[in-house]
Amino acid sequence: MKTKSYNFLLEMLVVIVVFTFCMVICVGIFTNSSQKNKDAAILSSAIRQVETYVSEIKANKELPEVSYDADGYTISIEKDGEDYIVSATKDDGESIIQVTVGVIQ
Amino acid sequence: MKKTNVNSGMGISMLIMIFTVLCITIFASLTYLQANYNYTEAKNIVSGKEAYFEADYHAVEKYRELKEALEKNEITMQWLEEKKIDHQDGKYTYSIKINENQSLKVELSETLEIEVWQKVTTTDGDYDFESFVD
Repeated sequence: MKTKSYNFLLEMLVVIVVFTFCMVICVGIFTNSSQKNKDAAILSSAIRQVETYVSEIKANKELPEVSYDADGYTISIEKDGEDYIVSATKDDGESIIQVTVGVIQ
Repeated sequence: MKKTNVNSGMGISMLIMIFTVLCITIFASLTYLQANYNYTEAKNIVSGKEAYFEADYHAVEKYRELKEALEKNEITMQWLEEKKIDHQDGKYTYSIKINENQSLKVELSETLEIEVWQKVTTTDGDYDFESFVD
């Protein structure tokens, strides 16, 4: 009887340890996946915004007002002579895209 | 009835745990693969757009050079050849490479009105259409 309950406790211990270990790994994978999905969403959103601003610059031939309040990245537009530099940067400082837009006057 | 002492060493809790862990691991792996695919795809789109915008900028630069040369009346066959601009039937044509398979085609009139400014596919397809036709 004693051996039986000892076996049961041992098994439960193994179950808890292995389960906890696997759960930690799985949570790590889920967190990583979530971060990657968030990064992908930021990239997609940023490129859409950059495209919109580039079209606006080409159509109006003037510096547009950056009004889009993006989550996770910022867009900046500068005038460089005849050209415009549109760049999107993540909040952590990593550059997403930087394009030079030439305008035909 | 004879009672045996054979014990597999695995109870129901162990079996449930193995099954649960297996399910969660498969689910986590699929989620990670999907997320990774989404991220790679988004990155590819960004680099594709970046390449297009770069080609577009080069096309604008070439347009400006052509305009300046026209205004100064400096256009010669040699100059056009140097700049890789075709001048045929009163049209100026040039193309800027975007990537291996695509380029930006620009066609301008004699007065430099833009007639064509579009992305074209340059890959020569080697398709065996005969196999699809009876």
